[in-house]
Amino acid sequence: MDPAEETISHSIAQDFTRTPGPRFRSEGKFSGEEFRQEFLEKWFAEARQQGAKLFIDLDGGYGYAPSFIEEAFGGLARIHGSDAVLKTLLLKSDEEPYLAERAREYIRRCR
Amino acid sequence: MPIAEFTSWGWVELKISLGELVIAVTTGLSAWWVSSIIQKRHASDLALRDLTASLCGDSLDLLHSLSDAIDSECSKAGGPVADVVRQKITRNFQRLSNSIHTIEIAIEEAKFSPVKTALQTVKDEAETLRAQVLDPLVTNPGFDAAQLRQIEGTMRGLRESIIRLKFKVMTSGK
Repeated sequence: MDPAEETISHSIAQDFTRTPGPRFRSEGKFSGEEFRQEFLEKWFAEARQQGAKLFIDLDGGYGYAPSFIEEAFGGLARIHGSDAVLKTLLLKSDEEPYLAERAREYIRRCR
Repeated sequence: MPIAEFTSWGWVELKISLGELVIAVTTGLSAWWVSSIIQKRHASDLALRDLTASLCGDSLDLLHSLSDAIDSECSKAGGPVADVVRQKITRNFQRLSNSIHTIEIAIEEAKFSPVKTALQTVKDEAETLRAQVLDPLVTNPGFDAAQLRQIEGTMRGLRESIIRLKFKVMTSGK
């Protein structure tokens, strides 16, 4: 990463919820779909507009269902293309490193 | 010109020149040096294998704990799972996932490249288990008997793939 490049940082636990839910809004509260539509897409658009990286911290919550992660990040890649998402998005999960790796995998699969 | 002449015993006559002595000492020292390096590398390689195999053992223990948690909390009554149980199972899964990540770090550090395919199988099995266990916990209708059987089957597969990885770590070359 270019150290001079601007980074916009967000945390799912702080900005959305500490108790992420299912894949779709119809299945329950704090879904991956809700997170993507209400937060992630806006953050992503803002970052691209500014030519910045979007840094998302996955730590701090009660744990994620894989379907939440797939719908949020895979869903973003289905809209904008995986290359654009991989180029802009940076994911971090110190609490469970495979979670961030899995999210990147969902994004790559949308190629 | 010989620097030493030893008494002859019958037809055997020993002579050593300065050059020959230097060559003999150098050869001996080189052999000792190479042998000590090989021994050190062998000991270090064994230690890395032991460590990685022990990490595989930790993953098997954590998989056992996860299995116990699901068995004791989710299979007796059916129906929605209590919040405290969901958190316990999620935490158990996180520990298992992180233990597999630690194995991956050890394998990378030790450069055990022939076991990478076996490691990938373990990771894939763990991700299948993640979806089978954590997705239903979020929507929370509880686990029915068929889901529990499916989870048990995936756990068996994961257990066996960890054991295969452990054997590969112990027996494969670099």
